Amino acid sequence: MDHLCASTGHGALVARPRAVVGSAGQVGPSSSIGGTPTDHGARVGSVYEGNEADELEVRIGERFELLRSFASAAATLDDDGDVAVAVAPDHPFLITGPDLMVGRRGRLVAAFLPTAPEQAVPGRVLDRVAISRLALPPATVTVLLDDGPATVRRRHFDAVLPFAAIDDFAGFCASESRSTDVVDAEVRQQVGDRYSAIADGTRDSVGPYLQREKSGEVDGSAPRVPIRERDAGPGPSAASRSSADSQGPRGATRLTSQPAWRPLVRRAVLRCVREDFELERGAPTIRGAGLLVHVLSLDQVDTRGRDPFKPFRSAAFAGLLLPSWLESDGAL
Amino acid sequence: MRNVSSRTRALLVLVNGSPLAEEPEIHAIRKEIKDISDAGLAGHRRRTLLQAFHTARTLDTSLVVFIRSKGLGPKPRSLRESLQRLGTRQRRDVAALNPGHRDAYVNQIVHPRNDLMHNAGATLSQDEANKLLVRMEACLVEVLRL
Repeated sequence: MDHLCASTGHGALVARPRAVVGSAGQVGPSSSIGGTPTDHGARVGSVYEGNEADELEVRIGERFELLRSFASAAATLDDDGDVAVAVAPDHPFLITGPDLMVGRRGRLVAAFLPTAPEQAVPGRVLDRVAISRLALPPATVTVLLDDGPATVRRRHFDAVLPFAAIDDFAGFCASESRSTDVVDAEVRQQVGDRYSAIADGTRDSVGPYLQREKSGEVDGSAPRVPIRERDAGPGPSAASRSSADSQGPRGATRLTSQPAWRPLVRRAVLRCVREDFELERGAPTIRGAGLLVHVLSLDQVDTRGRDPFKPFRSAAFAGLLLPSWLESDGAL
Repeated sequence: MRNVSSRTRALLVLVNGSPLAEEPEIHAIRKEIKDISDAGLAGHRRRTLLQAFHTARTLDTSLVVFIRSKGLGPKPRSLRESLQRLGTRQRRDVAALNPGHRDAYVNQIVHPRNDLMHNAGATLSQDEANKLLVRMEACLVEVLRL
């Protein structure tokens, strides 16, 4: 893998997002950036000055501004309409994915800016990377935007850039280097087959996955952490939910009366990814003997908007069956 | 490129970052995707027709070019044939659409698209149009990850 680490070591970094944002005035006429702020968290960013960690709180708007700065820099590469940039891209299969994507001349760059919860747990951002790599073209190049100290997770990215390295990001997007860590076709096939089974939404299609576990063909006996309300993030009070009253086929806890379903689905998707995949130098591989189907039961899933079934589709892609899907009209 | 929906922008980034970008048809594909957004300015009836039209052409051409760039056989003559081709695993380094899902795409995309395009006076409600559009988008995105 061709690693590009623009960091000079965290002891030398003095990167204040406000100052970085201010340097984005070099935007060409074709560099309008779309998208909306991600809702991954209200705070992001640990900024280091000298050897002393000085955590800086960055609100959602500032996070978005930071992403826009990187996006604007990439958009300046546009010389013949051959660069397209999206902040918080609306991917049909990803309820949570890259924060920024740049497509240019057959090379797709997906950039990740860890949220505060992702920064709190080393490696947590890799769950988002894994599901993104499964949904994006197999040779997608990944970039970590991070001002934190070097950790083991960096080996999973093609490049690691601090907040101040906006020009380096543009240069990286302009390069022709390709990721050598292509997601294996067999992994892609298995993920696609499982998605198809769940999207079909019938007992016949999902049954074989459940049967494999019962028969011991794959190991479903490993202790699993149930998906509980603490995984739902900000949402309704605990009183609005029932307690865990039954277990799904793979230990997913059944929840009811959950109006804040979107963060719950997002967290559940990432939990499923964590259980099913591990990264080998940035490319997801399947843990254990095979993929299973997870179940998360929600009473209420509101289906509004232009793509009302995206929650079901993105959950299915991650191996998560939402039974309320079975009551809809099969529009995945 | 302002006033482009986040979904349309994501499609544009994905095709630009895919093997399609190295084929001569990429300019036409990009133009079709931009026209999907422009169609949003028209009145309801024309908007749904135009969006379906441009999205269908984007999908048709993209699948044909993908099949050629991956060496998956001769040029398909229809969207149904493209989907059939992509539903058969031909190369170890290229995954295939699951056959069940391929058939679902045929039923959910090819049939309603043909009904819309080949029948005078045919139109779609906003709900029907949305379903058709997002299925075509999902199909394109799923193919690009194969």
